[in-house]
Amino acid sequence: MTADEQEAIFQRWIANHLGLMIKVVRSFAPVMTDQDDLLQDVLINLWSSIANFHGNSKETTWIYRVSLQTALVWKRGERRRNKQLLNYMNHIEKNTTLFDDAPTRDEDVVEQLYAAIRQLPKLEASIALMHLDGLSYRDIADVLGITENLVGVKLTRIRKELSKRFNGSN
Amino acid sequence: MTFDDLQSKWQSHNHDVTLIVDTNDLMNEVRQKHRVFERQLLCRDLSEILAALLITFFFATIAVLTGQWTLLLCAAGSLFVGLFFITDRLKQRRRRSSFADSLPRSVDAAIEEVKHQIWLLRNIMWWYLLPLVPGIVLFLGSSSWQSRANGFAEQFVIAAVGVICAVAFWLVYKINHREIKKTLDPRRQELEALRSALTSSDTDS
Repeated sequence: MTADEQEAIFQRWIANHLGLMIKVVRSFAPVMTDQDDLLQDVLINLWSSIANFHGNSKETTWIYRVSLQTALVWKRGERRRNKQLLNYMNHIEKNTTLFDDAPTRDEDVVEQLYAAIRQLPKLEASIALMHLDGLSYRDIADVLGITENLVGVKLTRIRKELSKRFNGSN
Repeated sequence: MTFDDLQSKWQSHNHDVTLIVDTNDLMNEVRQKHRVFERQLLCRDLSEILAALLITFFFATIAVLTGQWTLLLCAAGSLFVGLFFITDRLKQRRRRSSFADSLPRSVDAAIEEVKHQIWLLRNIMWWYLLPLVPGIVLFLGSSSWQSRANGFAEQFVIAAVGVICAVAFWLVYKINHREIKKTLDPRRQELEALRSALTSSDTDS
């Protein structure tokens, strides 16, 4: 693969799937500096992974795989970069106490969902994220290298757990 | 609110709306960071080789200039430590997993890497400290023997150097063992928990 081809693929991935990477980053890193560090790791790993991408799987599955593999073994505060890639127009963390009030706006619900995902164990967080994005059991199993059956078992618990948190009931 | 409501809100939300990203800028940044990362690895390896060679050369030169042949043992010890470090680094680099691997294999690779780090630090006495000891002990012993007629002050200085070396070795040993306890063991446990979650039976709850 030539450098130009690698660059073209990377630019296409960024243009089409940056939102996906951001979702992974926000689901695993609570604060902006960490999110920035993790995003940089994800992007560097994606760049390096292009040589291994032979088109056998869907692009989204591959990007999920690389992003989640990076996030799952990522260690907070391992290294700090000087330059930030993320420039948030408004700060993500609102310092709100989770689940104190019923969510009023869709944006609040999404923020609370991110916070709820971050509170799950890492594997469950990955499954929840992909399920919320509408990936099939098969795709989730493929990304994580686990069985579809295990995805189903975990999802039953995750769905119950998230609904319970949002409804504030037992 | 049902889970399906949550899912629908999640999917209709524009997750990158709060970001301003210049794709070209990002692309250049990533390319540059990738280069810097590769360069950092190369520099780290080269600096280790250089440091080992410099220390070896230093001890060997002093040995030749002063006729203190025991220092050649220190040089040999330094060379051994440097070679061990480089060989180990190269061997570990070959074992790195790629993203073509599945997640369980990638986690396995991360666990192996941490376990290897723990092994290195736990055995620092054998591969880092001990190879330097014979040279230092023989050097101090022979210096002490040669200066036995020069009085107490010189003997005291030699003994002080010995004590400083012993304290430095003890500190290196302790700091590395503390690093295992503080950072590496928790990291290993975290990765093993993730690995176990990935392989847990389908009926686990």
